[in-house]
Amino acid sequence: MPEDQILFQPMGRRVRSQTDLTLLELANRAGAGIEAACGGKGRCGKCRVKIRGEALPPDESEQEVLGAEKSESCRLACQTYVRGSASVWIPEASRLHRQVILTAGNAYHVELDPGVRTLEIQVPLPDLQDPSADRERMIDTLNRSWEGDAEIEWETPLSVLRGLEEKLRSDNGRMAITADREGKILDIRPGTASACLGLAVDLGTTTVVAYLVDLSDGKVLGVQADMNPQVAEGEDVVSRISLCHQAPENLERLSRMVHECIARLAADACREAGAVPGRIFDCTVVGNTAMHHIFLGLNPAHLAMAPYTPVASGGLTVRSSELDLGLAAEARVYLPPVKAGFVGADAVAMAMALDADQTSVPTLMVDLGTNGEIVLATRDRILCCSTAAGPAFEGGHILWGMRGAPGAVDGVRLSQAGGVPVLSVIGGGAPRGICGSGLVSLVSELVAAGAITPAGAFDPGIPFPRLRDGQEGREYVLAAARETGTGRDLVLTHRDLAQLQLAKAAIHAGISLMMEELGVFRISRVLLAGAFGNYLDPACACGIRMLPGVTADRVTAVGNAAGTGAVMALVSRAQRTRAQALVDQMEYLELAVHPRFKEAYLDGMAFNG
Amino acid sequence: MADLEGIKTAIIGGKRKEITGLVQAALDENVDPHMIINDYMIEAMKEVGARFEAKKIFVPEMMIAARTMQTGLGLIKPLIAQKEGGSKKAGTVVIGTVFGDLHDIGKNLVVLMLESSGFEVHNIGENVPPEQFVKKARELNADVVGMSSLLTTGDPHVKATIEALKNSELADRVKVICGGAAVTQKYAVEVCGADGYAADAVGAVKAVQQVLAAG
Repeated sequence: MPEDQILFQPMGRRVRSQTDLTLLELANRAGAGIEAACGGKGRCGKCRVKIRGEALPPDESEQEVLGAEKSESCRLACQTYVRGSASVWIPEASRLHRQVILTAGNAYHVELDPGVRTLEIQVPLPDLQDPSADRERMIDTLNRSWEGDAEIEWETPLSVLRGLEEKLRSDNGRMAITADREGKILDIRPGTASACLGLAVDLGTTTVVAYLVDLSDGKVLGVQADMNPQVAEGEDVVSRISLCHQAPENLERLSRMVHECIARLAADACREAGAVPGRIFDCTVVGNTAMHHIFLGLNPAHLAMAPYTPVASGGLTVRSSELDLGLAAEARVYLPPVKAGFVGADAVAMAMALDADQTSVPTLMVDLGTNGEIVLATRDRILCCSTAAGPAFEGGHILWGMRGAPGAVDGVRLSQAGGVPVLSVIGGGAPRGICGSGLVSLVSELVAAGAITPAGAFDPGIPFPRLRDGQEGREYVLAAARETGTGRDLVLTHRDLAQLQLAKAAIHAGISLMMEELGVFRISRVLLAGAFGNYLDPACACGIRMLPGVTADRVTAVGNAAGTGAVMALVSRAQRTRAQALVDQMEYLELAVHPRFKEAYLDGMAFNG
Repeated sequence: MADLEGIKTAIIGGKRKEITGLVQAALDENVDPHMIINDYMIEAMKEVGARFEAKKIFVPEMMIAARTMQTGLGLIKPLIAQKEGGSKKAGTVVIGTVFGDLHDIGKNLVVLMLESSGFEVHNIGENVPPEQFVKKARELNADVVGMSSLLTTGDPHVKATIEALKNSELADRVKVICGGAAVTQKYAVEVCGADGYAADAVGAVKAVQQVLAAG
């Protein structure tokens, strides 16, 4: 019987359930920081959390503090005692540390040609000589001013027509018209033109990043990121697909969660840029195929069953109002094409941003996340695949694992003979846990120092400083209790090694089979993308033998390439055409049924050799 | 003198590069192939299983050990086949992941462990519909059908698959075992009517042996 555990999300931290400790105390033990301005006295209400599981009911004073938010699941962490296992969601406002999520993409170079424009026009006011209708006079003026698109058939939705007469007259015929390039008028308002904005969204399994872009000049005005709130419902894609498959209301709920998340990110980005979400007229969303389906409210069930068929795979444009994203009423949302059940628009966007279609030497592009998307491009072929790496790269399923937040160890250096490790901690301060890049860095150093056998155990034959017998076998003490932010020893266990091994073996296997398929023996360039990739030292990626036949000098971290691709598709219609061409050119390698996968996976398991 | 203990150590340590030379040396000295398998290789895997149960090693090391054994076994198998025109199997197992579920790592590990324990194993893949389980069990003349489900607690596909097997003419001669994170002993045996249950790959070998012994 496994012990009862409390799981704190979105950090993914676990702790043994204890009936005599409050959730706030347990969260501190787990290294999942919760705000508690009043010091846990139940007064400030800052430690609001959502609980799934059994808890003692709230008393009167807690109910008072909770006020309008009172519900069975919403509680104050400092006043709540849980019985047995539970899952606890810590909302952004209650989190002690904001997550550090990679938002920087590479600079992009595309010709500015957005799908939506705002134009200022001067419509003549009617008189007895020309008493033609307001709409017709407006269109007449538009036809003379709108450049670049031949023979437009203007479409005026009722929402635009209603109130036109007043808007037209209130500034003597001066109007700002926002329309898409096919001629649909999205918004009219009196006076001078205000901003025409777009939103590019990288919708990941674990994180969501939104870029606010000025469509008139292509400048990125602001970037916001948050954890994907769906994490609380299931950590990986397959578990979320399964939920949607079980009941339609689950799909609806997951869908709504991510819409609300995007609406919030859009509002935050606008606030910081001094803009309003009502001026966002165009939006691009890239994500893996499951995220794409759930975002659109399409049932992803068939993605998880052979032959893994998506409901729709081509590029799609839908109305934002159908999804409730809080953008302009007539805003449009574009989703680039997806390749296959497990290779989505994010992989396509990455391939686009990294010019997979223009490479002359064998180039490997890897997006390291819960789902590892891999693209291998040569001069004439582009191959893609997806491999289930699991959450280890994002700190999941690791005893002291956490995502890239302040307090996370993100890099480790061992001095000679494995003396005192030198830690790099996000935000400085005492270490609270270890994130994916820290994990890879640490294991790479331990492998180099000879402390780990190729098969993945702490070598029992070699005495090594800081290596000891713990509750679950051998473990490496990264920092002693007095040096950590949790008051407990920060260790790397044998089981953690095994988790990392499974994750990197999946990537290694995917790459090997792609090289085999294309007959590539040597990869000239490796581009590591994704939140994890940017902070990852290429030497460490090679040090744990994740990239077959590649030396560190070939590897470059390129930031959030999928996000960059989403921005490119937002500001340029030509890039949307290019996305479709890329998808048509890309060949998909199905690993699930590949006869050599098991062999390649086992080959990828060893840490060196 | 052949280093038979070395074969055992190499398997336990997952030293695939060493196993070929060690096994070849033993065969060159005319050591009985059955003895290599039964007294050293299967013993080594028993030790690996015990270490796994004691949480002294984890999935990757167990997989690497099992593969090392299979590499060695690959050298021996043709010899046995030559001499006896096929060797005596401990039993035939057909194994797959139930419909709607794509997970394969745990199941593949069970395959490795069963093969390493002398069973003839047919892996029929993932996302396997109930009727396919029945069809393959019939075609391959299975003694045991194993199924894995990781995804959904109380997975209806587990129940449907077991019912399909128990309602077929195979009911009397085919035993059914279940495993995977979504299945419990109670659900598998009491609710669905399976003959056995295992929580992990080592337990799976024991469960198969038990249901076969029970007859």
